[in-house]
Amino acid sequence: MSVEVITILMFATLMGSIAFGHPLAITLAAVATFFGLLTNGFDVPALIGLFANNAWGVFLNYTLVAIPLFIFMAQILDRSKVSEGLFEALYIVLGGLRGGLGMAVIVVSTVFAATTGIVGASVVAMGLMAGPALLKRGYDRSLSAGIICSSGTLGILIPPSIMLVVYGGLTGQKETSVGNLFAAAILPGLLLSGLYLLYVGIRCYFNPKIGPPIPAADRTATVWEKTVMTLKNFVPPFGLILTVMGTILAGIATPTEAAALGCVGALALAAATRKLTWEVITLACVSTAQTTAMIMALFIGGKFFSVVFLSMGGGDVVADVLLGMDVNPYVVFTIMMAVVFFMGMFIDWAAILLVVVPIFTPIAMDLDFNPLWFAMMVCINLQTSFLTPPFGYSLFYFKGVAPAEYSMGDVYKGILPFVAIQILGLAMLVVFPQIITYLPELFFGR
Amino acid sequence: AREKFGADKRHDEVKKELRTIKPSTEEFKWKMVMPWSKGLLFYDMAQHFADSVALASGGRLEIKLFSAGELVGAMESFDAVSKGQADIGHDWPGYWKGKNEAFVAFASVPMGLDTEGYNIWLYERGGLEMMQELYGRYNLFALPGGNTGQELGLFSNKKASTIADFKGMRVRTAGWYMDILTNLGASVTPLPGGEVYLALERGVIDAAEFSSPAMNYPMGFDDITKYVIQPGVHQPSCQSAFFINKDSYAKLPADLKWIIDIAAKETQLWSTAWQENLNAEAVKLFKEKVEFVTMDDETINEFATASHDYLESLKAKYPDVKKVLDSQDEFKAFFADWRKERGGIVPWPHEQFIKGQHRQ
Amino acid sequence: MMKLDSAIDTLNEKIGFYGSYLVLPLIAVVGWEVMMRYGFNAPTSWAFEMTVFLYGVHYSIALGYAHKHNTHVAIDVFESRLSERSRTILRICTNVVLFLPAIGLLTFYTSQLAFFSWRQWEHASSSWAPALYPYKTIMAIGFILLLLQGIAKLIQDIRSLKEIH
Ligand code: NA
Ligand code: NA
Repeated sequence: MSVEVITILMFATLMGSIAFGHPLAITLAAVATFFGLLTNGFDVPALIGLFANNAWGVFLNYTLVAIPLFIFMAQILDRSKVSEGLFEALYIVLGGLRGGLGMAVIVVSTVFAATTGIVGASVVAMGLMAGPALLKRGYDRSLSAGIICSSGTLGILIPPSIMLVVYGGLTGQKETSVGNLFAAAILPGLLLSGLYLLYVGIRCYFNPKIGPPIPAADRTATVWEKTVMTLKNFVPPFGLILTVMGTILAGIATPTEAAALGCVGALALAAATRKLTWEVITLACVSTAQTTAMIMALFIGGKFFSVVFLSMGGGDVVADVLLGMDVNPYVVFTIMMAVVFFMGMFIDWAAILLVVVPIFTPIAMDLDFNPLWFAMMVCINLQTSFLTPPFGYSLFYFKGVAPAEYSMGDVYKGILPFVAIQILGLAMLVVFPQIITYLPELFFGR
Repeated sequence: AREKFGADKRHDEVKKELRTIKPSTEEFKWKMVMPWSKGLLFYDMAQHFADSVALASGGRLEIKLFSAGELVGAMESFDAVSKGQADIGHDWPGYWKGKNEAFVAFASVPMGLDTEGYNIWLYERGGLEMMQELYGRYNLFALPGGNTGQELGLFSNKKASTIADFKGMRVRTAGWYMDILTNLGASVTPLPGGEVYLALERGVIDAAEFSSPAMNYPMGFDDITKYVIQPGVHQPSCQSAFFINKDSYAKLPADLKWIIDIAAKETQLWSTAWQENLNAEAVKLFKEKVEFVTMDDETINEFATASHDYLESLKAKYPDVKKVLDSQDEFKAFFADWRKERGGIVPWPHEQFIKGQHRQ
Repeated sequence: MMKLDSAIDTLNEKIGFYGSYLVLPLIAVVGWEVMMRYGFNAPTSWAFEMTVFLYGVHYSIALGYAHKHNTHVAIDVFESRLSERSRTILRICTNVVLFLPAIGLLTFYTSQLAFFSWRQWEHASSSWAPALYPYKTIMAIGFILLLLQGIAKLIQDIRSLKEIH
């Protein structure tokens, strides 16, 4: 069998096997084991010894230390109810506008995204809080589902982000160090958030029925009260943002260290709001251990898969096909983006990252794309994967906590415009790559 | 009359070999692992060797390179080759310090051998045999794999030329030099390679050493620091090695084994010429951006003493280290007469020379 | 009589639960390093490696715990449309075809890796130079715990298959 055939078979087998509902990490490892043995003449010690060796490499990967830390931080923060306070304040401040409440959700999610590294917490919190509130105020069901699901995914793009940590740990390159990725993701994250706001604002302005303003009777607070309330509720999250991003940018801490400082900050915040009990800590620890184990298992399984794929020469096959087309590099880039987008409809972001980045990065380098820009485009694409049906985890998180009035149909219909916005955002970043590269250059001079 | 002075000791072996050697036709595909990412010039050295082997063997031995992380992580390449998960590896032997402290002596020793010294010691004074004995304990057959010359000193935001300046300085380095600097009063932190740039740029650390001038250049440390503190006493030379799984090696016919041996020597020769030329170019470029600061003689002396004390303590602790370093010291002593008599005369440009700059 | 599967459940529950607290010393060690370096200009030689070891131990011993709690992400949308009995049969099949061979082999070879490390008295190539064999052993134990949990699930699925009919 030629390498080309095996390459296709290997991906087909992976896509087929994941449908059986077995954990993705194990499925990746099993498919890797099978094809590894098939292509190395059934030399079990050589292949699995190599796997064991790679598992040890993951065990010692310093960059990934940030993962349990950012997860723990999100867990504590989630239980200290910071986002609730913020939402209540913005409810009153923005509620009077057409679509204002929806915009408040986007703003809260964006701020919350800058304090947490994952998606689940933000979508769940907003689903529980804003889901019923939006319904009560007469918002269109699909619009409100779309708002909550899409803005919640910003958590994994806007730094801190475990996706960026995983990316940095995967390449080990200076250009795509975690610090650079964090700096690069800030403006694209804000751009997307701004596009969401614009979309909601414009749609509701012309069609107030889908996003009506809150009645004046409910908005009795004076401007002064509004200001005080907003400021008060913005302080805790901004303190945390300063702790994490501030210590990185001020040269006090490396990204991993900043993650630990963020944990200390989140604990302090929870203590200040009298939410910090031993039970809360225990629950956060347990949840952190399970989620970290899940991510690390994926990291290990994905690693095995890419090791087998690369060692049998599959990377060269893909590169030969893509580079041999002799077309504009942006055509090749678009194909790679389309592959990531398509996989994102079905597979978890971490698995895609781990399988695809080792194959695509050398191709992107051959085509002289800026490594940091390319990394960011992949990451935004993967952020979108949380939204794309059939398997959009953001949608599942939302459906899990939202009031029963929201049907899965509402959710699917609601996120489509936001997926279009994501694609628009990607297109804008192709035209204006400075949005990605400006801050890293400003902060790190490169 | 006197007997012939010296002989190529390989010749007798070759004479015997030529009676039985036959050109082979069997083809081999090897996997090569390494601690280098693709952008690093060490990777080019490994590639150069693979190319030489492929050319000389007419493609019968094809060595495919896997950069760090593609097949195994950087620090796992030793075990991978030792256990036959890959056939050959390229390294800087100091990375295997944790397996046996003596590996560092084959890579670079603070205030130790220079490039010329490594070549003579390895090929003519028993260094290679010791190296092969050490790697051999791990089922590996080793050959010298390139030398990139003296490393650049510390990229620093603190101007340090006297020993007092080093006290309390936050420095990133690794290995034996880390302990030596600690003994001299610096605050040394072993940050991983990927974190160095950010840490240096943000002031988490004051200074860092990484590699030779040419290897350092693409890292852009000159953009974010003000000084380079010279000379690179921590690594007067940087020696690499190829290490081959013994079972993979045993399967090769004699002609391919010779091709490997000759290609490794060719890589050793070429790498120095290639790297030192690039080093000179890189230093010119660095000088446009950073100030080169030279440590005073007294400071260099203190470094020498601290290094000596430290190495003596290692020798006392590790018999393998003692054996290798004693051999290198013996070579230094043996060579000292000739070193002195040739007077350190080096080819400075004529104008500099007649103004009185005669020696190294 | 204590059944094997519930013994495994208890083992992973206990180890996973108490092991999950390791994130607290992890935060403490990293915080300590920042304080010593930034505050006192005296970085430690050990904190960096200690951090990595804590992280590695933390997730390794939670692998089986996460499997017990079905936290490992899976695409269960097709599966959830099947009947309870078909689903159980499918779980048994994927367990036998995917999980047991892959994790079984991995368990064996990570144990071997640990064994070689002990035999060499392997230490890290750093200044602090901590021993590596305990950590390679813990990594192997992590995979053993994961394997055990898979076996426990297999036992439970076979038993429930007998009960469903
Ligand atoms: Na975030
Ligand atoms: Na999706």
